[in-house]
Amino acid sequence: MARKVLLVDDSVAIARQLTKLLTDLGDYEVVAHAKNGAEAVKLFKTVAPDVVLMDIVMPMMDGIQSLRTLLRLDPAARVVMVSSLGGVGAKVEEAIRLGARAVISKPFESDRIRAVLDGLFAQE
Amino acid sequence: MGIQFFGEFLLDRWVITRGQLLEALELQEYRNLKFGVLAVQKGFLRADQVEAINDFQRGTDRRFGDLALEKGWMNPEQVREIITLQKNNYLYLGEALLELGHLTEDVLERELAIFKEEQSRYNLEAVPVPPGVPVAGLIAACVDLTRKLMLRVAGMLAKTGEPALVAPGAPDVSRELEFHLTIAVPLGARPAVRYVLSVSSDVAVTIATRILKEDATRESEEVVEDAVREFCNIVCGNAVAKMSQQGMEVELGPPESLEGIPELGAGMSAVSYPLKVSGGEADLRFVILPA
Repeated sequence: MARKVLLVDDSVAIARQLTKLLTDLGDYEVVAHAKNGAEAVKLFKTVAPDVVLMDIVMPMMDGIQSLRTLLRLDPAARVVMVSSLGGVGAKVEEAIRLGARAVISKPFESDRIRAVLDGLFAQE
Repeated sequence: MGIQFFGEFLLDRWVITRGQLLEALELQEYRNLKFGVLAVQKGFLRADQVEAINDFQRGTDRRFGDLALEKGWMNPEQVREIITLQKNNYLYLGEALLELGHLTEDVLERELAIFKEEQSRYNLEAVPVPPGVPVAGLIAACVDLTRKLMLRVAGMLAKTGEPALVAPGAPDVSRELEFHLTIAVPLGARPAVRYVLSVSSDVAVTIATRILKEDATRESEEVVEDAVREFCNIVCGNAVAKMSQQGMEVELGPPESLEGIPELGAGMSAVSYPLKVSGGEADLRFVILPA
């Protein structure tokens, strides 16, 4: 059975790109898309995803704030941050310190997304 | 993948765990003393002078040592001494992981080679920036990454010509051209800069098609615009990452759509780069806000 993915990104274009990439991988299904952190927290409770892919820079509640909230709700939540900031800088380091499992930088490559997600579940 | 740091790369490849990375980062922080800390230890600077330089340095591409020299607080010999001390004692992330026993030498060598190969596509090429323009390094990084990502993300060849300085009220040929979309990204440096990319309809649709991974000719204007905004966000985000690797922290703001190339207000200036894109028309410029 495909693993459930919750996408959190204010960009519709990026959400569609990620949905296509994940669908093509075959083992993952995007079950919901939140456009900001506040929506993500609500959807997280209702869809119970296997993994959350979340942008760092977003309006309303940004990725760092919502990462904190999601991990308070469920300390075992698998949250992978996606970012145009690459894997560099204070925000990315903060996300890792808070408990993000990995950071995927934009532009995306499907091989790398697969390696990160498959590795995430293989670790358990 | 965009610009990464070695730790994230190792994490993504599950070579190390998050906990091991954090341990290595802490070890680096403990060992790699900052210029100001070393200068205080050596008695070259006082703590309040370090704080003043740090405040001034934030968001600029000036080096700590250069600012200390400029203020007359250190002499060239003292600056050289601190730089040598930093260079001789610098602990790289790979070395920290080795020391902690989280990596073996052969794995480090193998991963470093793959990492360097992957990241070589983001090695910056020289971009001319007119003399006297502030945050020249940030502007050059944005220009080069626009060209590189235009090819990688959108599949279009992009070349830039000689840059021109634009002053408020001066003739500006590009402002008379009609572009389909103009997107601006605020870059919180000192002074603040706005990355402004204008594209024709053909270029916008090509970018959207490549990002959406399906033909975007019939997509709504909102989706095409969102894709171009995201393209600008990726370019600027990667430029910010590149600057961060060089020790300059820049705040990345959310991209916004503008009604055409903006007119310059009082105290503003701009650097304009003619941009030739294989699929249509484009204009790239950087608006420099008053300090």
